[in-house]
Amino acid sequence: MQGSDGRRERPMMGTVNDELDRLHASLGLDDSDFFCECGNIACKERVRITRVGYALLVEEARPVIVPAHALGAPAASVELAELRDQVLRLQGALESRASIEQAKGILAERNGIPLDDAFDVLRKRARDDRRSLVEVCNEVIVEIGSATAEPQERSERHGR
Amino acid sequence: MDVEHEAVLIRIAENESKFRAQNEKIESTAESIGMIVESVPFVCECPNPDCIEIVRLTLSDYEEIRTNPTRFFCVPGHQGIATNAGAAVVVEVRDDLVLADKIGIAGEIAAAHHGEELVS
Repeated sequence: MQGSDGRRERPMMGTVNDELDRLHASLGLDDSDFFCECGNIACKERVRITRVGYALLVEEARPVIVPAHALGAPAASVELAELRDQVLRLQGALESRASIEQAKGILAERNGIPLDDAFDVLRKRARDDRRSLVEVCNEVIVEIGSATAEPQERSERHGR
Repeated sequence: MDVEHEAVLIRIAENESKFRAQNEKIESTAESIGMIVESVPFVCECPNPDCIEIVRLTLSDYEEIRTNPTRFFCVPGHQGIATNAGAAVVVEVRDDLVLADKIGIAGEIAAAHHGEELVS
């Protein structure tokens, strides 16, 4: 992860360490047991370094990391971030897919056309209006879907 | 602008629109077989009519690009013909593709063809 100045951003635990540093400075201590910033949220390891050493790490935007965690942790955080990103993209794709499938179904049923043709109609509308396909599909679901549901609800009420 | 240069711009736009039409068919096929999250192999939309390069995109990424009628994508390096001729400007460079917007006459032609390729 890169900061706005292009340097690596320090993990969230860095904020805790900053507070610790301020506290120990107010107590006049020269060193502190800083928390490991390896990125693993379950990590409770601490490492004793001087406050001057800590200031240098902060200056260079480098995280405080227990030596045993130094190799695996950064790679693991990068991998985790990539996986999170992938999950978000897949979630987005699945959500938009649900809208597209629903709109295709509504259009195909109402017009007695195959699903593939319904997709072409929706896409054509999106292209013509210069809007996203999902936006058009959501509109179809709300407009046509609710118009279809209303008479059904009415007939159900009258049927009682 | 001289007539010859204008003809070049028109040819560039027309060639790219042909690839875009191909990609719309690829999207339809991918959609019908349910390629929801996989990368779909689209064709490079550069102006070179002989280009056979593949650009992989998810359907949602493809749809996002298509929202803009003048936007096209190509393999990195293939944007030069259009940009050097003043027919397009690069708007985004990714690892595996370049996004560019057609401008001037090329942009007008692309916008005019937008959605036309869907009419069978």
